[in-house]
Amino acid sequence: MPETLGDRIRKRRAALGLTLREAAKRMNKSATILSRLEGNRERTPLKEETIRKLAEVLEDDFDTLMLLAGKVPQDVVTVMKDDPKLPEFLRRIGRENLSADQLTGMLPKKGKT
Amino acid sequence: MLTKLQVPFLKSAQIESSVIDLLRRYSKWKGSVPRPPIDIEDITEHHLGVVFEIDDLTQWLPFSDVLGAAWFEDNVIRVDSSLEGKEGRLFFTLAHEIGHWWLHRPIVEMEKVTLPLFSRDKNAKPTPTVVCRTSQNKERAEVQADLFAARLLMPESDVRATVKKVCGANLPVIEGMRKRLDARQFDGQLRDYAAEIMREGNFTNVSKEAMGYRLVDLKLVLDKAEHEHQPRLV
Repeated sequence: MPETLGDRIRKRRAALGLTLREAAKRMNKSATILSRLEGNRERTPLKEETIRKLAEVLEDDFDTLMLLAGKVPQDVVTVMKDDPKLPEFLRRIGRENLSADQLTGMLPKKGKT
Repeated sequence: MLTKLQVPFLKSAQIESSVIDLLRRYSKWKGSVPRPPIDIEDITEHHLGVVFEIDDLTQWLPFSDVLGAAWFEDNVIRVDSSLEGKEGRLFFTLAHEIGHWWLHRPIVEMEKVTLPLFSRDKNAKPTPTVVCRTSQNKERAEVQADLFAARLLMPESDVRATVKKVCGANLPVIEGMRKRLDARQFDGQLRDYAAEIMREGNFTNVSKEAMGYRLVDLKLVLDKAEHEHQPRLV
């Protein structure tokens, strides 16, 4: 079964030895909300800033948590809005099964023109 | 379907030794002797590997007076979100559920071996094994879990050491305490004494009521009438 956001939060919290209440306190959220997030039962959509705080407290990757929450970071949305061809480009990447590593390899190396 | 938890009679000393057993195992796992406040969340989640959740239990159960419940088969303990912010009651409820886990889960497991019909259907909705309703707090399993919780959060040796530090050899004597407790009125002087012991002994995760009853249980506070009628050594 694919990992859910709740699984990820619980796993990271356990790895850091944080209790539910301690983690909630560091996030400035109630333990009930964190508990519902871990159980994938929180109905209120998560704000990006909440996920950023989650990543900080759990020492985890922000983008991974965003994707698990089914969200696209605002800075990525801005990039896509700037170029209307990007969504179709991303779809094509998906169809052709290209990985980010493969695409990065095609980009000019830093420092070279 | 919710079934009533049938448990055998346990002597007070048996519950005490179960608590000591859990604390000893936790101490070995942690690498240090647990001292108050006993980290019941750490024991639950990280030592026992039980999932601890705080949620609105009315969404899970058809009762409005449930403070905690244990789903043995799913390895989950849930405490009602109404207790969030009331640390003493929240931790006592969690410790109470751990009491069920430690004392009663082996009994349920044994029943599953001898009664295969007890097993849950693969497609059935998960149901809790233990539901702790405030209206049922006099049932044997509930009383045992309460005793377990009190002894786990307020270990006898730590409470005694703190009382000795605070009171020396002179235990406090409160007039009419027993009568008020029997009438389910928590004594004001007992509350103050409990607060002092909590402060001095770092029992920060229990309520004054819980500490008061623990002090009474350990006979570390005396009722004036009982004190006067105690047989004296000559």
